[in-house]
Amino acid sequence: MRRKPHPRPPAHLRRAPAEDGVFRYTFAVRHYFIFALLAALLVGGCAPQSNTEKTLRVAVESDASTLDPAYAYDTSSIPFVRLLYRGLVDYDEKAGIADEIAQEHLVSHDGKTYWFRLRNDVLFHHDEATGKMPGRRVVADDFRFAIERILDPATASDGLALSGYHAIEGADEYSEACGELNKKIEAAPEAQKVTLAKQKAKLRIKGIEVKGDDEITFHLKKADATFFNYLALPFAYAMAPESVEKWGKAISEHPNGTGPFMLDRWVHDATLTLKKNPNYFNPEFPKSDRLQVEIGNSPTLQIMRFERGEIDTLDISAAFPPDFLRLRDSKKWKPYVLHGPMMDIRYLCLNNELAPLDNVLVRRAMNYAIKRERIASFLAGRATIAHGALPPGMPGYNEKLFRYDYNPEKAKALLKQANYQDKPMTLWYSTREGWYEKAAQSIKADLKEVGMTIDLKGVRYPELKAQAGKRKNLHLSLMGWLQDFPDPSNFLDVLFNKNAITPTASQNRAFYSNPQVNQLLNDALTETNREKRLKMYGEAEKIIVNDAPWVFLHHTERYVVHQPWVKGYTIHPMWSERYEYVGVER
Amino acid sequence: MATASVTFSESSLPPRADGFVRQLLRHRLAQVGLVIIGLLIGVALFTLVADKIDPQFKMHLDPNKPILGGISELGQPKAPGQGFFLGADTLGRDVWTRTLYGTRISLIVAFCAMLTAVSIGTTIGLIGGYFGGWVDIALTRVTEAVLCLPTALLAITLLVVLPAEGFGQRLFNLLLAIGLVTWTGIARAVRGQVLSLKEQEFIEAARAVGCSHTRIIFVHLLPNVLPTVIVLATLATAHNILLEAGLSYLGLGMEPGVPSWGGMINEGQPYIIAAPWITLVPGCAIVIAVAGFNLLGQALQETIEPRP
Amino acid sequence: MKGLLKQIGWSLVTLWLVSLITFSLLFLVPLLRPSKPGLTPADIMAQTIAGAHTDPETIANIKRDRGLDRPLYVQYGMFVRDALTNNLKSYRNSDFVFSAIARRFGNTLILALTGLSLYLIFAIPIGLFTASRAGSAIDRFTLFACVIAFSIPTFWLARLLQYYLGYRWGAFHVGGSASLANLPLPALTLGVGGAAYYARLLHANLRGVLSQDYIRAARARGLGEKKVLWNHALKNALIPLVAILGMDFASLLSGLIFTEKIFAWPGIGSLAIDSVQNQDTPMILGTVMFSALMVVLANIAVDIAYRIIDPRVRLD
Repeated sequence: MRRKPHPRPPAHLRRAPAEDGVFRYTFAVRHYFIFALLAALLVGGCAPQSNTEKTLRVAVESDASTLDPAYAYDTSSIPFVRLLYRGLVDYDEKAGIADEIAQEHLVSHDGKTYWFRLRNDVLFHHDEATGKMPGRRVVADDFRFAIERILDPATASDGLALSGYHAIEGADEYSEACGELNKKIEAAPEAQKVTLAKQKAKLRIKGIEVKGDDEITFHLKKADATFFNYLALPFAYAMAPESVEKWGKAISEHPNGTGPFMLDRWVHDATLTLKKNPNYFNPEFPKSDRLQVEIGNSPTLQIMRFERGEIDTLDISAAFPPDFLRLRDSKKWKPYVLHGPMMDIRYLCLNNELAPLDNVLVRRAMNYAIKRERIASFLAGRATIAHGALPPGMPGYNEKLFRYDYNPEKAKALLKQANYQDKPMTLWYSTREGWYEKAAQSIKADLKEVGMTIDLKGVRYPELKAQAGKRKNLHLSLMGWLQDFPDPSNFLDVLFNKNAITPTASQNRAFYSNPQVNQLLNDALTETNREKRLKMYGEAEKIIVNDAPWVFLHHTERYVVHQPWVKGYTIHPMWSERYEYVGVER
Repeated sequence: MATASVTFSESSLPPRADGFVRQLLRHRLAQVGLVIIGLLIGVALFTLVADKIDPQFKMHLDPNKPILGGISELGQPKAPGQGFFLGADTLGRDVWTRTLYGTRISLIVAFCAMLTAVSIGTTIGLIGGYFGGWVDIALTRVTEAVLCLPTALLAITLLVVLPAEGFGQRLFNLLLAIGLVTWTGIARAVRGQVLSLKEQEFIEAARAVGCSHTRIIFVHLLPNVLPTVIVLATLATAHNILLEAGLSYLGLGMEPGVPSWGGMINEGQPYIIAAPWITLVPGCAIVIAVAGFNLLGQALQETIEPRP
Repeated sequence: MKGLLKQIGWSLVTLWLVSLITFSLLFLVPLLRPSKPGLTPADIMAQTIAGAHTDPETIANIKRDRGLDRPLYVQYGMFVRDALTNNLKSYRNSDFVFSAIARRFGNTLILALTGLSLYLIFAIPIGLFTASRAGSAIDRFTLFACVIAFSIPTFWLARLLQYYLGYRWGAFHVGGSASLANLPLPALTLGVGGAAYYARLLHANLRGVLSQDYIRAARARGLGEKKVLWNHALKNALIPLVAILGMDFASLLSGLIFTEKIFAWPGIGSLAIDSVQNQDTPMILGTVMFSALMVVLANIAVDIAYRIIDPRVRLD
């Protein structure tokens, strides 16, 4: 803040002047001009920086939480981790599976065996022992190592909780054995620790079979149609065991991967600079020489800087509506605004186990009573009204699915039919984003119209998540779900299957369970024929919409605006950013 | 005792009180400062009374009431003029009303924190200066140590560490945090004055008569350091308003619903491109309030220790 | 020389007290008034380290690894040891606290020095101008404007300058990283209040100096008014400001917290506020200790400067 008040300097500090009054030097004058000159240089010498190499400049608010694939599970880290590391497979433009480091793959008819042959020209960024570029070739063992690393409880990876990795035969046993050895190592005297660690290093997952440098096979316990997605997530990207051994947890600061970019410099909470990997196996990528990420820029600052041409791309999906509209509709930026589905759903979660919401008629009535167009309008056109749970762009999305359209009369009739007695219920929402509060107020007003009384309670997101996950706790909560990967199971299975109900931390926060739906979802997971599978999900979604466990509100849209000199920016259904595709031509 | 008073009134006491007040009132800066402070107190009292007497009245003046038409369907707040004197904020509330209500928190916090700081600072300064020796050395070192710490950082840390639930506790935390980091200047100044006063005859006379330490400190020393303390207290109030605004700006002040100037700036700044008035208006209020106390402080200082 | 050594000795004591105060602030205060019953500060800190992985076993492991379950005096000892050997590690990432500070120190120094230069660049002409016209209407108005200027909150001024001068007018960069281009507005933010404050001080000092005998003597010898002001009066009026500049270093650092955050200038100030908001205890301790060290050093530097300028002067 401002300075503290302090008294005038004591008298003895005021210098007694020389008696004759003759000062030969002009101290003050000269120094004043030196200061002025210095300042003029600093202030005036601010010519725009010249860019000889092609640098892609972006600004973000918060630092990447990690650059270690084992912990890359949030939007701050995934975009950068997947530039540094690469996996066996990746997503193509339409979110289908395509080979990446694998050059070919085969899946057995029963869907239980996945075989891959690796490319032989993929190199690590550098050699860990000598530091020379490039490093050694990527071999099949590096993928086995990566998966074993996340299944070891000592790593405490976010991937440990994902079902896909436990589908591998022997994964659970491996995880348990590791956990026991970890405890033993903890308790053992120093001398024994080394032998125990060696013993642990010899543990293997039974279902991962490595043949030479080029071939790797995964044997699953039972067929799992979503398994490819888990291999495409950063958790399963190739890691060099020698690098992990050298750096331990600090591998996050010293990444050695196989991706199109290499780490140049990372100053936490300040800048993250990646440079082109000249030895990347696909010489077409990356399109720019350098990616410069400036951290700590508030959303407002990002908009200001973008309009001044200081940064190259800007995500405006969550921008304040007037700012968003100004950018979208201005002549200058209009041609450079891109949009695509966010692959999410926003919904009003109804607790299907609590009266009166256990009555399907009441739930349907609420679906008719709420004017979803108005709620979507708070996002200024960045939303699509929902039919069911699956967002547009998702395989299996059905635009002909039945939709509850705004019809308060019908809602009143249904409530009457259900013998509904008005008793106030509380709607919980998160104060994280302005939309939730506005939507909650809008819902309250709409339900009032049909004779339902709602109280509002805004809380912080972690609390909402904890409360809503408890059984028979909240009546109504306003929620959003963003995909982990583009597969219908990631919506329907996670949010509507009985399996996803737990007493305290349920993902199925509607506590919805329909035996028919459960059966369909479980069967679809092991079904290997894609067409058949999607049909099963379609059927399940139809039943779900009919049962109305939620009020399906809307899906949001991703909006990005970029500078005219940015080439090749596209919006991808899986990855929020794919910087290796983006070039700059000034 | 009478003799002692005469001695010091000639050496170091300010001119007689009524003359002093007249002199102060003639001072231009003091006039402006006093008018501003008077207005602020008036506004704060007005909001308090308005709450109490007339619920009907409150309907029009509720700082937290979203007003119909305050924001467009898309969330664009109304600009100043169109039915809103100084515009609406992003929840459709009247910025002018909220700014008026913000006076309360600012004044209460700044004033009470000033009292906290003054009591800590004066006590430490008096004790250290009077007793001297190890007591003085220890107290001076602690003062120096706190003086070395950036006030804002220290107050922020304190507020993050202290649990905050509800209106009362948050208010108490704010007072505590600001009071605990701003007393050092006062302690230093008081100690310095006491050191020089101690050498003067009337203190020695008091000692010779057999006055107790407590009596000497409170009856003889305190009145003599009071003028300096009053000057510093006025300036500290100005500083406290700034600090309170800064803490609220970081979201460490009162609860979100309670209107405070720093909090309003915090809420308004993400929308500065679309609605700059939400940020602009409470900021001006802060500048006016702080300037009011600073002007009075400056005038007091010049009246009490006139410069050549 | 002896006096200087003594001062350095006392500065060390001050630094030790600073460490004690901050440590008890972070470890003792939450113990006295826990935010949730049963949740110790150690638990909260362990949770900060653990991030998303919050099973009780991980928390217990972290507590043991970091010594958070030891008695407080042992932890204080560990903190002092780690701080002196640069082994203090952030809770949020694998940064060493003092390495992180060292990386950002250059940025803060540039910003602070530019801000300080702006103090003098603005303060000197204003002070000279008003002191030479003491009592006139323009003098009083300027001084009044100065009071207004140093009553402006830093964070508000920063936003306004960023929006009006940077974004609307487009003359300056709006910030976002530490570069020369981004320097003017944050420096100006720091400079405005300080300049106004120092202009007032300088004005008062100049008026004091101008009434001294030697100035009258200089005038009597027929020296031009300009020469009297610039060559004789200014130097003597500036010297006391040096002492205050040393003391003001702490408040300059406080101003940096807001300025750096708003302009996304990666310096010590933004590091401090980030670590407070993320409850990164070692980083908070580190930044606080470092700023205290800076203030202490600034005071010693001022003292030395004083001895050089005028050997007769002793600071107490």
